[in-house]
Amino acid sequence: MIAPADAAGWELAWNKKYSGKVSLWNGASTNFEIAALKLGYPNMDILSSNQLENAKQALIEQKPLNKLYWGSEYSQEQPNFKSGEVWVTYCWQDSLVSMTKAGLKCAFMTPSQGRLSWICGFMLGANTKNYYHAHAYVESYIHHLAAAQMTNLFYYGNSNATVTAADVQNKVLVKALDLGNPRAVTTPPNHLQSWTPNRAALELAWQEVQAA
Amino acid sequence: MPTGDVARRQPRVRAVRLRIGRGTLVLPPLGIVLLVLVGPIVVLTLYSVNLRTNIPGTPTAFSSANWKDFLTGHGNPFRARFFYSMKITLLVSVAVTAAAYPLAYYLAFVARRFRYTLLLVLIAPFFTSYLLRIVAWSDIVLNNNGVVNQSLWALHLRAHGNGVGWLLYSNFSIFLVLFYAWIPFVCLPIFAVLENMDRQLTEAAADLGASRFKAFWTVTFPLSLPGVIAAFVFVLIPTTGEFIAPLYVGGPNNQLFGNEIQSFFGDSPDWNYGAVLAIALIAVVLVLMLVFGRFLNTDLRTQRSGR
Repeated sequence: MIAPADAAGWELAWNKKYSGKVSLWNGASTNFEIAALKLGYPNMDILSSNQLENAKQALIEQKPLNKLYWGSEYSQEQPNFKSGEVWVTYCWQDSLVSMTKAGLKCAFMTPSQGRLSWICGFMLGANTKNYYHAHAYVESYIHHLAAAQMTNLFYYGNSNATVTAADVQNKVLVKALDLGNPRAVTTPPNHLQSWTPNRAALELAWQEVQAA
Repeated sequence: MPTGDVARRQPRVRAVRLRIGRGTLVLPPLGIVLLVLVGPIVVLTLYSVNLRTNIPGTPTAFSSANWKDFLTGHGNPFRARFFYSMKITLLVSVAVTAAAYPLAYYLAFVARRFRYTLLLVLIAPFFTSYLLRIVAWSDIVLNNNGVVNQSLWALHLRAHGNGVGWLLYSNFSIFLVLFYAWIPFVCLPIFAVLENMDRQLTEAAADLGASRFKAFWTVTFPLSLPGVIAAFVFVLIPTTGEFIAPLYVGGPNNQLFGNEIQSFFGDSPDWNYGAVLAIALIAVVLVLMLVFGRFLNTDLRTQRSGR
């Protein structure tokens, strides 16, 4: 369905050939990061006012090509890809496993401008009662067996460096996401998502894209 | 024995007591209305003029900048989305009311003893959650592998795998789902008016030589107008702020004004701007209610006597 030559970079989402078959996530920062990378702004989370405006215009230009901005991974993104409603979609790590299991021929794209990667963490509130339980919780969360299990059940990478590629059952995913490489999310071709200084302006710009 | 003066005063005292009694009964619901309806509107108003904010540490001071931007800002996309939404809302309201009329007419005048059974069948979808019904349309009926496309493929009307693209995530899907969701609801007030209509009037029209169509057009339809207007308002008001159906079956270009508001309070939180949109919508709904409210007279006797 997608010509391999077209799947070279983030501009695939702007390719009119696939109009109505594209689906980006309904997320402000991610879509602006995609637009920024497409426009050649590698500092994708620190955009100047002009760059933000250019990214907004690029997203407005891309909008009609979208079938939908998906909001739910399991009730929209994956079912629409499986049913053929959508051919090109922004997705997370487990989609590849889900689609492969459904017998679809698909792959993660490695955009010339780089992929997006992210890290999630825990936050402990200053006034948390029994805060010491939090440490025990995190200890159990990053235990080797728990971490390996999380990758095998939910296909997330994790911060436990003792989990190697050998611990991960799905070898397709290991290869696609370079699991087992502790630096995979922070080194090229991956761009690690980070804090956005002008978040309020970005959020408003995303609202304008949606309303446009 | 009360004096004449006291005797004159007693009924008045009783009437005042009765009025106080009735007033007391109204107080609890009135309190709830004030608390859950008026209260939030007041709070929203404060947000809309920047006297409150959802962002901790942000200074608050009266500002009408968001209002100015929404109402007069050049090429404001939210204002444009509002007019787009109103267009869709009007289209849905007119279409649903027009389609519900023959249905209500059939129930009231043709179905006879089966009419309440049929009415129950008509409102049966209400036993299922609104959200579930929308998801069913999206996931079972309209999507690429849904019932419609599968049927077209089975009948060889389209090549297998080549689904109809505009069935889902389009204006069509929003229209269809809202139409389906509202039609039983809209049918009820029209049915109620037609059901209570004095049948002798149409018989009299027939006796005077009117054809069936003329009797309908000059007697039945004018008398049913209060129900029609009530039905129209019943669909117009909720559709004005609708966001669930567009969220699930609408594409990026088909989101309604309600989705913009929801987004300002959810995914991209800016309650100050969202409050402006919400208050603007509430104002429009109030105006619509004032305009149509004066036509909401379902008492056919009052109509006939011209009061």
